Amino acid sequence: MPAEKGVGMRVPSALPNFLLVMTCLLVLCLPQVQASASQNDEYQVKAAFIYNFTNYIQWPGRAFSGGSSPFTICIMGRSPFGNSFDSLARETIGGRRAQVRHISRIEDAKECHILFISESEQKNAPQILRSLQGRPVLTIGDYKGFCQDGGMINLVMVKRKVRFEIRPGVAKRAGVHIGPQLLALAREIIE
Amino acid sequence: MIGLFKNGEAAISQTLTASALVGLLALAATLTVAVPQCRADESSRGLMRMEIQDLMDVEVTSVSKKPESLAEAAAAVFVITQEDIRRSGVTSIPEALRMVPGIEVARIDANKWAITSRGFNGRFASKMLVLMDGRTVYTPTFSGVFWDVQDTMLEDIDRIEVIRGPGASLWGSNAVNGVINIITKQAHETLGGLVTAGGGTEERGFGSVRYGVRVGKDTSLKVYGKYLDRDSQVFASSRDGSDAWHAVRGGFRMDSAVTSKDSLTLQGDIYDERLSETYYVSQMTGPFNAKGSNFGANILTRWNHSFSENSDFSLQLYYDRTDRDYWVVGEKRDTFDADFQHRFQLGGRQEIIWGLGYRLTCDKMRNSDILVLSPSSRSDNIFSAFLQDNITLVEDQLRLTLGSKFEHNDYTGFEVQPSIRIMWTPHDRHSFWAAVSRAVRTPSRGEEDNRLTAFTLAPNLSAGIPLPTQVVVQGSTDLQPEELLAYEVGYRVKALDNLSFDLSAFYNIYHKLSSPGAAQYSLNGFPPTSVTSLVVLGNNEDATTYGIELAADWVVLDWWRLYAAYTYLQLVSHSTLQNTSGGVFEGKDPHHQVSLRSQMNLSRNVEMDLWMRYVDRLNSLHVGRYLTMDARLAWRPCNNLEISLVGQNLFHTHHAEFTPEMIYTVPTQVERSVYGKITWIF
Repeated sequence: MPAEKGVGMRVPSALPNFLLVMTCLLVLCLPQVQASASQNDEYQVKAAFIYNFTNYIQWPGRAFSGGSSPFTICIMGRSPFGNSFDSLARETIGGRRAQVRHISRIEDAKECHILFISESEQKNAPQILRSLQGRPVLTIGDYKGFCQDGGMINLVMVKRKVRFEIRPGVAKRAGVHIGPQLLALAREIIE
Repeated sequence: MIGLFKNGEAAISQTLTASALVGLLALAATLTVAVPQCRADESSRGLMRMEIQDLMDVEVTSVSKKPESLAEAAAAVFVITQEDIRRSGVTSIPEALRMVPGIEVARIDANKWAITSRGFNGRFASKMLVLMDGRTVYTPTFSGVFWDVQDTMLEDIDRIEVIRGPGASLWGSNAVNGVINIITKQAHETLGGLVTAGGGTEERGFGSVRYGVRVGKDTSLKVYGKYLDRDSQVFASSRDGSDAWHAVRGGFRMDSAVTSKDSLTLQGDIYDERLSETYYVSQMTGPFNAKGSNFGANILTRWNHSFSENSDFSLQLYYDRTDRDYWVVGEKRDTFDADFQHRFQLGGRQEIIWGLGYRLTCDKMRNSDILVLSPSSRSDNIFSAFLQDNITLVEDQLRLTLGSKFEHNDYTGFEVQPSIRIMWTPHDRHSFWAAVSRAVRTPSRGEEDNRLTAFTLAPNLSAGIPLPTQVVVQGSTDLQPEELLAYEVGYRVKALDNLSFDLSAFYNIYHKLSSPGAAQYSLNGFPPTSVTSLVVLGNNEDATTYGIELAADWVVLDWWRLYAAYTYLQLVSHSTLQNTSGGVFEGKDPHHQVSLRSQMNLSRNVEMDLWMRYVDRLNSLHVGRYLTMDARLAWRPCNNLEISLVGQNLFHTHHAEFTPEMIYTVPTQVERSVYGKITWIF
């Protein structure tokens, strides 16, 4: 019997060891990862672009329910931003407290001032954008054809740098005023 | 010999459970607690302070891995979104799959479904792989899926990706006719609370709670719990079907951005389910009701690391325990799985993805009078590797994908499953793809080791049965893998800004399908008191299938959207033993299926959704065609509260959808039903 038990035990004993090795590997890998953590992640840069756009854009008064109501940035679909927007919680935009929300329903988008439509929602983007027509929500995306789908600003990567396309016509109809300085920096103006 | 296996198995399961849990928890704790917060937040603060002109000069050092958009995939894909699930009013994952072209969903009784892709449906439909957040839920016991336990909070599902056709070059054996990938939301997408509660005629009562919090600057955690109580359906005679069931489950998910280049996920679920079912295994005893139960738990961790914009890897480990206790068989199964994947760019035009995988699965069966698996305990190993090369032939226009999976399993040894795919996008609105693939399905534990007394016929002289006759199906260790050679083409077109179509067609050639061989008769006892008719499973059948699948999406008005799906399927099979046509697989799949969904926003806070479905008859199962409809009306009095009323299967008081194979439980019929639901977000 003891011999039999021994044979039976041989298979599983490899597993704790395997886990141990994996855990050690993970721990050992971490210091190197840390050393290079101050690099510029794509979505940190894109988050900074989105925050900075607000300096060049004006929303109509009807976009806010009251004088002290917050400025809401919404992310629809799978968020690629990780923690990039976290520092915004301590910022103000146009004198209003900034807040970031993750939303999944089109109806919730109407409460937003900026709506970032994630690539995961690309399929639904045309309908989301149609339902927002005329509403003062600045729509931002980062996939090919976002402006053609009816979006206002599309972030595009050009040789490791972030550039943007603007479709000012849609914004104008929504009452969102995009300043000429920002239009001048756009890579492409789509009509 | 069997005794040794038993001892070994018990030890494996205990050691595995304990060590996997301890190991995974230790690993998670190390990564999330001991590691000091990284500088991601500071650097993003710095970036926030910069002017646009300066930001435009910032060089991005790590471009996020862009998972290939499914719209660009050279395969027949369909994605069920969270919005699709919510607006369809479905209460389970199997029911949600009814909206997918090319997928067959038939409810056998209240707690059993037959689901397949591109033919060969059955309760033990064996040719489709199902994954939940990367954990395979396909059971090696019979190469299929127990759909009743594949559940989570439906509000938590981000999307369900369905790939029809072979996915074997990436996912391995058994991804023969399709892959279903159920993906839940990350913890940081579900912060705050969500409560749902409701009930109705078939959904007697259900409720779920989810709460998500930030537990660190870069870490979020959510927990959920869910309960459901489903009424029994009815037999064809309208008599109560005695197949009611109830289930409780809970789980958690933690997602952490450990550094700007590393993310870690730790998640787990636990569930317990009680059900009733009616067996009919002997004309001598007649049908009888039996109770069953399911218990399961799993824990999974995944680490993603990106080296650079073109290179990253992920490592995933999981442990899964299922404990099934049915009258016909009891099964305890432990699965341990490790997967590694690495992606990198080779030159300017090639992207290579390769990976390694290992799976250990150990089971312990409790046999019954009618189903015996021997040995009653078994451990199996699968080692696998895959390599895929995406080659851009013409930038933005022509892409070639070559890939293969290499796998070694304990049943049939070494298997190679290659595929070649090409994608041509001549214009923004048009894309064409084509693929040729080879896939195999390896024999299941049941097909090798079972002896099933499927049915006992009572003596009936006018039918030529002089004595009680037992029909016995026996497995075989000589089974070889089933083989598929698949040819597929597809076309996607955005005909108008608000109208798009996705069309695919396939021609599949199957060889060596597993089916029962010729019956051998023997007399039992002297003088004989009964007859045994023994059939042994063998690679006895060849088949050909072909079909067309069409999905359309039309935004009619900004408040009205229509989705249509049409499926056409032909399946011809024949036995290779005797040269007769009309094999055992014919007539179990509908030739035509139609789904038409309408989503209307009647006002800012009222939604009305309709869903009509048509499924053709199943000739050899004597199941008629049916047309039915679901309807949903939802009202949101305020932003964080939704009240909905859903009617399901409205056109008939009840209708049949399937008849099960192999282990005969009496099928019941789907009834018209209605339920109400409240969803509250806080």
